[in-house]
Amino acid sequence: MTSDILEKSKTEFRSIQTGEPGWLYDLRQAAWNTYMDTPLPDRVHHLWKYTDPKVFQPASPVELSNILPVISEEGDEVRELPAQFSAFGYNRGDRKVFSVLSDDARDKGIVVMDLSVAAVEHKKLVQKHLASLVNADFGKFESLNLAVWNTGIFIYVPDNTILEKPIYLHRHPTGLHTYTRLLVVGGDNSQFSVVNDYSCHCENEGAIVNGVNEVVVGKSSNVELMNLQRVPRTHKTFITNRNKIDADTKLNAYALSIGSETSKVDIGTQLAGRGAESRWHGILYGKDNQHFDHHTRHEHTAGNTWSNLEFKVALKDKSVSSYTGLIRIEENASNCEAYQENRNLLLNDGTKAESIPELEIINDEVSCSHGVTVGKVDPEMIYYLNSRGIDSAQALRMVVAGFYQPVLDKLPENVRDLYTVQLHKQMEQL
Amino acid sequence: MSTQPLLKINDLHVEVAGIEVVKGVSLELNRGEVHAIMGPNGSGKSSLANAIAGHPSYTITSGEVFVDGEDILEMDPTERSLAGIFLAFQYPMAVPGVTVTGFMRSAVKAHVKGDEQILRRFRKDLKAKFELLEMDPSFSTRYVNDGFSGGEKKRFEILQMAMLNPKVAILDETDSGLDIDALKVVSKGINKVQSEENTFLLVTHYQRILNYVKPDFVHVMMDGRIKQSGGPELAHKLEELGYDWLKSEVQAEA
Ligand SMILES: Nc1ncnc2c1ncn2[C@@H]1O[C@H](COP(=O)(O)OP(=O)(O)OP(=O)(O)O)[C@@H](O)[C@H]1O
Ligand SMILES: [Mg+2]
Repeated sequence: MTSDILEKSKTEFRSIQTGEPGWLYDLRQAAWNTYMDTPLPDRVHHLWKYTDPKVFQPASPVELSNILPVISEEGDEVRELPAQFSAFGYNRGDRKVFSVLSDDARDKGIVVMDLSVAAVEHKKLVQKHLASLVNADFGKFESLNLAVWNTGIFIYVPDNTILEKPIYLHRHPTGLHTYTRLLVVGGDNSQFSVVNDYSCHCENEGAIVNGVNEVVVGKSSNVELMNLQRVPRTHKTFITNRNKIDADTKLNAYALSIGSETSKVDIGTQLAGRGAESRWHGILYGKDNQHFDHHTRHEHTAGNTWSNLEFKVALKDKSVSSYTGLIRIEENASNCEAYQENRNLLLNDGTKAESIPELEIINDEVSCSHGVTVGKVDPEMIYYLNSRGIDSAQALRMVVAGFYQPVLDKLPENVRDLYTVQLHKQMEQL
Repeated sequence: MSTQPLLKINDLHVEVAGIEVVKGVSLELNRGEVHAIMGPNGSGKSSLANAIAGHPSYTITSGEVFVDGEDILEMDPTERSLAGIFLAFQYPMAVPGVTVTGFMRSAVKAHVKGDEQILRRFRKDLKAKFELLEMDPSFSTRYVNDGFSGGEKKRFEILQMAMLNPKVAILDETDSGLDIDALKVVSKGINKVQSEENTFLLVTHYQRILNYVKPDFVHVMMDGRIKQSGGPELAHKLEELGYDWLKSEVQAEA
């Protein structure tokens, strides 16, 4: 790109009005400049070995005036809160964000709202935490996200707050260009769960979903994060999640990856205070030509922290999955434990699973293990089920469902069905 | 009611990994009869059982097998199960992630072919069988054979048999690895299912189980063949003398 066009784009950005406060606008502008100045990632870079970055580059220049947020006004449609949730945040495929909270959640001071609005109403919190974990320098597409995100959602859970039912977020793609952001700020001594569901019935050939999720939690809290990526096959998804948990906080994260044609996901949790515990459970089922590229990281920056990660992948038809899983233990972080296991089930020839554990362990006093298996369904298992009258097709479905079941069993009961139904729908033709 | 044997095996030859392991076995099991097969390790007992159940690794090179007059050799293992064959495995497979209840329901559903009545009774029936086999109800939510002790696996095989009520039950060393009390419980389960409408083929190394489940016939299998058949007294004789006397008898005959 010539510097002329570059300058023009920078100016063009400045001319757009979002109604957001100036500090946020400056953040967007700076991120836009970074985006314009940053070349496409080099395929030599290990995180881009498996997926071509061009896939996530907007085909036509992003038309800024059509994607920056539209702030919701009073009197807009508000949906009913489903009984199993304490709050519901959503957009309807356009750029407006809505939310409904139960009385209980409202009384407890829980906030679930449009991130653009929160930038005014909860300025201190948003200004402090927005882009604190994923900033403009994180990567080319992350800087683009920070510049042009819309349909952002802000969640705040104060100190000493227990929220029994999950907060459910429906992250509906917004046409061809979806740049969406979630910021969760959790206090000390709290307990809450968030379902972050990327889904829609929309079909938009060539659509790109670029999502950034930042979750910052204080001390001694208990948090469950449930991410679902089940957008249609017409979409390509690029999702970056970063979580940071402080001392004695326990984070349980679950991810279901079944959607998209090409899906690149980078999920990281930083264990930043002594006694922090992080568990990540991933489920992936690929079919047809689906291409998945997952990267996870558990970064132990404080001593006496504990992490465990399990990632279960089954692939059918010509689907492929690449996985790189990093465990990093900092020099001053003694007495950490970190475990990682990735199991891949290849349901037919022509599928491909790559799995590369990456260990950066700079402290000697650690206990660390990682394991990878790539295999097929054991025919003896099918025979055993056959011998009880269960035909081979059903036997295979049962064995593959069983492969995931231990993860589903760990999910909170009120979310387990959502995962199970979606997973089994994806497995329908098995 | 037909008078033909429930299980008829006619000069069966079986190969596994290119080696003949069953070398011409013929047996007839009539309704209401219990047959025991004994024989040294590696003599082909499990191979015979698996060949009848349809394990794809056991190739039947010649011979015939009929269940209630029906040729089963063209059937796949699923069809054989539905035709009334049940094999209690010597080494039951674990199926991680599939619960005992879910597994049992699928099996029963396949067998009753849409008989709503039986499906509606399923939970009650399963509970009754748990009681029969003296298994803790907590097993119903456990994964099939996953982390089960040896004895628990054997009990669960018999529980499955009791649920499916087969015409032909082949029990491959179900008594091995059971403590004395468990042996009694498992035998009770077998006797409860045993009737004039079915037949049992008990593969065992020990006379002990035959004190509880009374065989009508005892066969000795050696080197892929039935070397000797007789009544229950044959089992006692084997317990006392081992197999050596048969070996010499075989050689003497040859
Ligand atoms: N899947 C297989 N692959 C290779 N060889 C096999 C296989 N199954 C059985 N065999 C061989 O066939 C022979 C008969 O084995 P089989 O399991 O039928 O014996 P068995 O009489 O059941 O013995 P045991 O009393 O020890 O259970 C043995 O030599 C065994 O090694
Ligand atoms: Mg055997």
